[in-house]
Amino acid sequence: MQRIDTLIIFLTLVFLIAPVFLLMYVNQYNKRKKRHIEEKQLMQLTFESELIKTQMEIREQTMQTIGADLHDNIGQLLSLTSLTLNSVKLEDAEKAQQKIDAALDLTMRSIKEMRLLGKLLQGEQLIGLGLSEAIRHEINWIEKSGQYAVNYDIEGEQPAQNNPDKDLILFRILQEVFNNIIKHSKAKEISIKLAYSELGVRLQVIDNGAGFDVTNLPDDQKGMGLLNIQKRAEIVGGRFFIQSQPGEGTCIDIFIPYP
Amino acid sequence: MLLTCISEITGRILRLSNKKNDWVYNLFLIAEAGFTTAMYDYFISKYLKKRPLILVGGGLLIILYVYEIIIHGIFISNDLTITIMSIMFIGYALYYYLLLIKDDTYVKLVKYGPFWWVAGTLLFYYGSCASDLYFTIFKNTNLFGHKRYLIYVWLNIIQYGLWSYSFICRYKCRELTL
Repeated sequence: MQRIDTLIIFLTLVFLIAPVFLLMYVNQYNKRKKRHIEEKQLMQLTFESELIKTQMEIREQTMQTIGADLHDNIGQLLSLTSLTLNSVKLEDAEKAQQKIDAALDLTMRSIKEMRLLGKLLQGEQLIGLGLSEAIRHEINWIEKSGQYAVNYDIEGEQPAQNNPDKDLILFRILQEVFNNIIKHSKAKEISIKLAYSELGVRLQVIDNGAGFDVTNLPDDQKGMGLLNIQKRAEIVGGRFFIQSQPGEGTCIDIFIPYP
Repeated sequence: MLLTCISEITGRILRLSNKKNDWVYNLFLIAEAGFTTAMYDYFISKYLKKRPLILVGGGLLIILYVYEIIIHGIFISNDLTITIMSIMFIGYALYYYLLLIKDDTYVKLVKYGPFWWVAGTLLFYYGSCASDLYFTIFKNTNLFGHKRYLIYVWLNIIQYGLWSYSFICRYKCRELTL
């Protein structure tokens, strides 16, 4: 009788252990859910702050380009116009006419440059028209210097629904890559490929510049923005690859799930 | 709660005067099944708009109850209905927890009334299923009657304790909302 009593109590306890463990599991799972939600919120905050930083950088880059262009290009053209007009001597009608024509030509070039600058100011809003359009605009600006031959290819259909946040980040990455090419690579040819697929968008930039040893980057080149590019690609769930050898140019490949 | 107290007191009085009290629990079974099903329906409605499972379960219990009453009358315990009902309520509890952990929103379980209400129900019906199983195994030994009663007392304490706590949580939650 005593043994049966003990057995009954033991079996009841064993039976009750199962739901108790279930409740503990639900509680544990719930705690994990809380951690996951907190991590997601943190990631969202990081993403938003990164986005704001990107917008600021694009603005800063635009202002720098405008400043440099006003000083180096339009400023020079207008100074030259002023000099030309100052040197006009009305007594010599034929020469005066030549100088006035030259001044007119310089003024027209200044107007053309100003128009390009105006477009650059609108460039920030270009992202709203789509990434491919914004890239095309950036390429126009690079080509204007006459130092680079740029080849631009677009593959696949751009999705009907854009993701302006991802467009902005990808555009900033491209600007960073261009900065590196201009500052460090001494390249003559740049090839850009933007490929849309069902899985996402891939941006590939290849240049024929000096290249560098990816595994052994000198200290003074560590701030080349490569870490920034990688961080930004990862923040939107993307991947970043770089291939380069000294003297063999550089290939940068970014893939981002899209839209 | 009032119905539970009335049923338990009546059942106890009849038992002490050596009269059969099964009909009291058979009548109480309607309130118990109705109340528990309604509560599950209310808790699960937070996650699902349509709940055919609860409807089918409720329908099945009604059919079983009427069937048993027709077969042996109201003075013999509706064991089949009780067993099926217990299994169903365990199933509902597991289903509720599945919905709770699948849901994206986080709730603080320590102060979440529905969690504790379902926990009390799960422990009670799980324990009562086990108890009924032992009763079936040991019914010939004539020793298990008292132990079964004690187990039910403890299961009731657990269930009503957790239900009371869940109502306190609910009350505090309403206080905060106000």
